Amino acid sequence: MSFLSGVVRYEYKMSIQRIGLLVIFALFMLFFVITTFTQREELLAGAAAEENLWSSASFVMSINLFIPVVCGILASDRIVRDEKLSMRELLRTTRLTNQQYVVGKYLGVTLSEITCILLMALLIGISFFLIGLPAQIIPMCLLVSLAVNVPAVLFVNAFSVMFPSLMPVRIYQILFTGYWYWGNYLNAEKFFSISDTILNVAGFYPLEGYWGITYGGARGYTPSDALLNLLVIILLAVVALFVEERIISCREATV
Amino acid sequence: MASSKIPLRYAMKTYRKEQFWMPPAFLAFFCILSAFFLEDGRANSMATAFLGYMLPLISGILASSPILSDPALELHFAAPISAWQLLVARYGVLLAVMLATGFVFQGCMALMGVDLAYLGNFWQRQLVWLVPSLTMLGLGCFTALALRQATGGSVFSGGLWIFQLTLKGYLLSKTLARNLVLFMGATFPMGGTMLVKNQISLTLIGVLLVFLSAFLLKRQERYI
Repeated sequence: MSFLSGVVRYEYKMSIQRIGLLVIFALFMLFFVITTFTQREELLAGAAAEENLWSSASFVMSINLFIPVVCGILASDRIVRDEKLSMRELLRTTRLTNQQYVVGKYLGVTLSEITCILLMALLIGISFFLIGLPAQIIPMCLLVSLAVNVPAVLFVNAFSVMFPSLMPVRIYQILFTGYWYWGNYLNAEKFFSISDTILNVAGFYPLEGYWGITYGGARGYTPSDALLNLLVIILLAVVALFVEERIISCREATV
Repeated sequence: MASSKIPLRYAMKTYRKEQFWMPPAFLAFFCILSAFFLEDGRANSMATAFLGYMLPLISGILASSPILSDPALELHFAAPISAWQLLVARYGVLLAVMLATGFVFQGCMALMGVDLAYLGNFWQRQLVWLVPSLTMLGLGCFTALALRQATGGSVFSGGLWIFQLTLKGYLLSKTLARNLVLFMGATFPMGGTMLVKNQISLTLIGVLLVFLSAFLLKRQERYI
């Protein structure tokens, strides 16, 4: 357990100090804060008309439009980097198991990104408070973010850890960026997409299932649909991590 | 006196292989998709998606790695090659692959009977994909060098691409922001003055980013 926590801690520190992560999150935070202040009238009018503060808090769902792409790309080179710098060989001389290594890398990078996302949701909440919404909007934004943004990052990061072991990192990054729009936002009635299936991780399921908030029309999702969506997301993430551990073990068995 | 020219066969061995096979692989995939949608008339949308949307994304992400992911980078720095020469040698190849991909794709569409005239005349059609691809190439290259991480370049390219794709409508409605929309050529191919302004702005930004990249590359100690 101490090995696992060591990898998590080290990976977290490495990831959160990456200049790329800090710069791009800072830019997106700035964008969201500016949007909140420039759209002040519309946001206040919307909150008054809906009479439901959760509806305003659901604004944090827009984080999912871009941020999981950023998170997935940032996570995609974590294990490849270790191999490139021969760190993997060094780690193999320790008692660290492959499971601990894969889970540690995954949790470290994911937690660092979740930290930034929650900070972003907190800033959005504070901005809402500053434009005139009640103070309870701040914890509400954080709660919606936990239900909507965090599962998306848990899902994409597991695949971002796994797929670069099967294909070059840049290829994965291109395919992944395309997937995010195709698989979550493309209208499945107009073009073949998995966006209307349980595999959608954009956050439509939890928003409608838990709070009854819809975007682009009601889809009829219930709380059990939202829970099922979360379960599928976590299950697939676990499978991806398991596959990655198998890939590493098989590769190292032949060395 | 030592020659500053690297024999082509050695140079080719140091290039990343995915930049040679990835764009043609996407080309083949979109040709298959276009053929699939030939009957119901959606082949045009597939062609626009590839030229106007996919090629810029591929350019941006592939542009983040030719220099920083090169295992022989320090050897290149030790050779009598200027920053500009290195930049041209690395990105010239990528640009050539992208150009070939764009033209071959249009050739394939012509053979399949997909009419791309809605994107304008021959030259206007080339600008629809070439301008955003060049801008993304400059962005990928500059951000990777500025952040000293190839993945940093990919993050910015991917992040900007998805940002512009999802907020395209909003950005196009703003007078100033519409000059920076990567996909205006694909969205409004007959955009007139608005499109010309957009393409000039994007080209200028792309050129500026390439100049800044060359400046950053001169400071070799940053990458060792």
